[in-house]
Amino acid sequence: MSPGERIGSFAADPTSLLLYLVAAVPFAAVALLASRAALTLAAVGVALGAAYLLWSAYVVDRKPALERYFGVRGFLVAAVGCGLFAATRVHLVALDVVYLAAFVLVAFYYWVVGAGALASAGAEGPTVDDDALPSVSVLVPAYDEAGYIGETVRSVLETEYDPERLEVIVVDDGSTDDTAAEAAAVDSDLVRVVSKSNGGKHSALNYGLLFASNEVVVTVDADTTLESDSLRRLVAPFVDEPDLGGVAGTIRVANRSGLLGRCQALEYVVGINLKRRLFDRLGAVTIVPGCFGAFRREALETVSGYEPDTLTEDFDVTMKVLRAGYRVRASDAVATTEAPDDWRSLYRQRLRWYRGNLLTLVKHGDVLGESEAGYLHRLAYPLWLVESLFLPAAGVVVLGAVGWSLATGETAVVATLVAFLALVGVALALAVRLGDEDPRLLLVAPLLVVGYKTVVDLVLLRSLCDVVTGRYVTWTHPDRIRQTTEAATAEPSTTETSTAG
Amino acid sequence: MIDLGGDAKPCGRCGGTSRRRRLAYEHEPCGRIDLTTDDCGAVSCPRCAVGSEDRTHPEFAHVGTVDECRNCGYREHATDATPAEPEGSDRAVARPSLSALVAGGAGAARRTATVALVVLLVTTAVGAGVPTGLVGGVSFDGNEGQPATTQPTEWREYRTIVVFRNDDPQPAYHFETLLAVDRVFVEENVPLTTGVVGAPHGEELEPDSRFCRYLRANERRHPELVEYALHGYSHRTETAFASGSEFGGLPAAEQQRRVERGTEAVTDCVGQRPRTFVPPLNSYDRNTTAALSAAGYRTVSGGGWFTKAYYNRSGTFESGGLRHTPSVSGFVANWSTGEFHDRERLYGDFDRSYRNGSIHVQMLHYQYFATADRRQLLREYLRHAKSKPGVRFMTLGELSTGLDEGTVVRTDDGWRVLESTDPTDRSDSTDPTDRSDSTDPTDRSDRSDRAGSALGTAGGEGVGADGPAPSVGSPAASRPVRLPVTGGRR
Repeated sequence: MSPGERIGSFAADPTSLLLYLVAAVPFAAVALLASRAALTLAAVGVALGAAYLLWSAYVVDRKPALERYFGVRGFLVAAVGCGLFAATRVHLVALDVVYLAAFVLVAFYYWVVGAGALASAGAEGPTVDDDALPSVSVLVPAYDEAGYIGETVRSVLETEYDPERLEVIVVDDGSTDDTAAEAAAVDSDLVRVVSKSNGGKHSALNYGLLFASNEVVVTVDADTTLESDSLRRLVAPFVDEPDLGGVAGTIRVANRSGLLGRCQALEYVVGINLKRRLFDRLGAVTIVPGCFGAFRREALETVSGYEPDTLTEDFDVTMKVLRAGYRVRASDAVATTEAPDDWRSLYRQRLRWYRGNLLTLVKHGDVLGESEAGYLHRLAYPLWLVESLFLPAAGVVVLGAVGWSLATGETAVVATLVAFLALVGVALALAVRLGDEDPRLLLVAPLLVVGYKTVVDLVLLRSLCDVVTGRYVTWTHPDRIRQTTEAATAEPSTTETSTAG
Repeated sequence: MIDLGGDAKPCGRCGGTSRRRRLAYEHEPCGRIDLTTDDCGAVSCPRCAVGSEDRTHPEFAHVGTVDECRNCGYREHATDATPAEPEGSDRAVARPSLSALVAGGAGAARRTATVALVVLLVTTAVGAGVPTGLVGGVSFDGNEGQPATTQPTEWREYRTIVVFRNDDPQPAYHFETLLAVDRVFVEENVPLTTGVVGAPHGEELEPDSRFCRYLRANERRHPELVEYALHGYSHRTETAFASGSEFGGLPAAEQQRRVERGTEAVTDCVGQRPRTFVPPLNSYDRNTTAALSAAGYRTVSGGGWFTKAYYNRSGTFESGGLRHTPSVSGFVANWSTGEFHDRERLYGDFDRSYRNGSIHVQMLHYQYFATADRRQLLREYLRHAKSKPGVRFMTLGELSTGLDEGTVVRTDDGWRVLESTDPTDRSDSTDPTDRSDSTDPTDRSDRSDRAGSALGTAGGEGVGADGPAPSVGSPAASRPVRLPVTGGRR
């Protein structure tokens, strides 16, 4: 199915559609509260964005020869030009620009990303006969994963997949514990345990590729467990789409009992069920998660496998596969993983993620000049920049400004804030609905606006400072529940490189 | 590599007992892991083109040991091998640099990054209440050239100019082989002109197909090595002209239609308008050149046997508003069986061009390189060419542009080319000092593609190209080539 056909189809259920349209109420409230000048500016911004999106869809899907025209740079120039022109005609308070940009972005995220997600939500995955499924090599890179690795390997073997088409390769990346022995103790001819000197996750995966002999390579983290139909759902899209290079799995947080676990679970749900669904339809999903994702082996070979320079090798390799001309999609195949269960571990995990993401964005900055890269150039990469650079800063600035307004007795801003919160609430509810998740997760929704979100934004800003100043570290290793409670291993050495996900 | 003979444990897949032991080495800067391939223990990274004969290269680290079944290729961990030393965290990894992106990225990306930074600064400044001024120096993307820079250049002399031409790429037709062949050229750093069929079997190329996206991505990654040409509209034999032609002999209007539609299809597919035409079956007539000229083409590359018979010219020459640069040699000897010429003949053709100082256009059809052995033969052929001092590789388009602009000039000894001396200018990686890899080729040969023609010229594709047309002078090879530097690349 071509992207055009995918975009054209719509399969949402009526309740989701109704929920989606409910957001018009808070949007209307925000509009009523705004001045006429601000409203005009916002309308210009929305119109410009809509024109850009429509043009992008046309040139990418229908007329690639025109891709070089009105690309991301053209859009930026037009936006700045409109803004500067407006600044000469309208008296703008300093914060208005940030508010306006935030409003336009929220409108985009909700009405465009939400519509894309809604359209793909009801679509069933491809139905493929067992005989047609590709042969699969499952790579499980592991560093000091004793206590987890055995369960992970067994969960892979217990999936409904023809054993004749399956092999499992556990790559022991120089573990200091019993990881290799625990994996080797799994009684199956399908499992091979290979050991190498410690070198990091990218190195373990590249080493595992030497042993992988099947058509599709699935990566599974050593702390991840699969559902019974996960493997076949994950690789089924490869059968009918020869230009498909990778498929991202759906990650579900296992430990949802605490507040932090619920916040992360809701955060995953939003990321997977809104933005990723849109890019699935466009064939431009930018991260095939290392903890559960699949690549056509030929695609990995085309891009020469994983590289060590970004800390987030899954993001990096997906970008390389996209830039090599392959599509990358997402799947509803579910894998369950353990999220950090204390703030310290979360901080360390996110520090690595965000530094790695920023390094990957820098590394692939040439995409901004590659109009041939289609949606990656026009939409996916610019959105990454907005999310990594503008949104965290805007979040902190807006929060500070609101606090200042309240402190100085300006209560008018409260109405805008309430409308905005309502809007976010609807978006989160839509994500939960589309993902068929537990509605009780919405109880922590306010924390995804203030609190948890603020902490995450600050970590992102810290990461940005690190990347700008070149202060990088190697892998950070979040503490694992079973390992810390059982004191099975000591704190990871800073001289060794973790293969954790 | 160690042969474990028949004493090793049975292969986990086929039960075979003949296995060999191979060492896995990681190239730390890029992370690629490869296995040693021979007894002398040489290690190399094809991606970065670095290597070492004795495994002592500081960038390579031994990471593991593998036993490989000689029968089925199945690999298993060598449990009885000496463990590799831990790599630790002192890996020689260079992280991406933000400043490098802004200061030294590719032109278009740098401009966009600059615009993005300006926008960010403006937003931040306004948000902080700082008065802002107008932002200058930005423009809509799409039609800007590279920033005007003055690069140092110098004339360099070469014995011969070599062009490789890959005919026939089309969707759903040996795609993996196309990737593998392209990879050989990329790894050997040799440019390639690829002739793409506009509407194979009557169906125009789908711009969103994997095939087209690959072509665009390949050009984007290796712009200095890739040129796309139009290789006909349908690639069907439409007339008996020259014992079979898609274009020659067709009415002028029909030829014009085919050129226009083929050009549009290939333009949409590869993202840029081709300016080189490679006629299917290597033949065309004056109506073809008129249609091509009207469509903005600059180069046509048919068969040497054809231009000799039809124009009575060989080598490169001007006619009908186009530069004609025909192929001199090809790999396939028998089109029915796909049999290649032997190595002696292939190398002999090249050596003849080299001796004569003439342009050597080597035709290949990627689909005949489906096996590793044949790609190895291709690689060795490239290395044979690279082993000669004074060989300059170009695409057909680059050659025409150089001749038009006077930056490629015929000399008594061969050719003189005006090149940038900036070592960071990738377009000049065709520098002779980069090209004269001293890889030792095994010397066998073969040659030319389409033997004979209906126009009565025997002997294949104008073998040897006895000299370029008068517009670029006559070849001579009486004096030795003067080269600025010769020798190996590393």
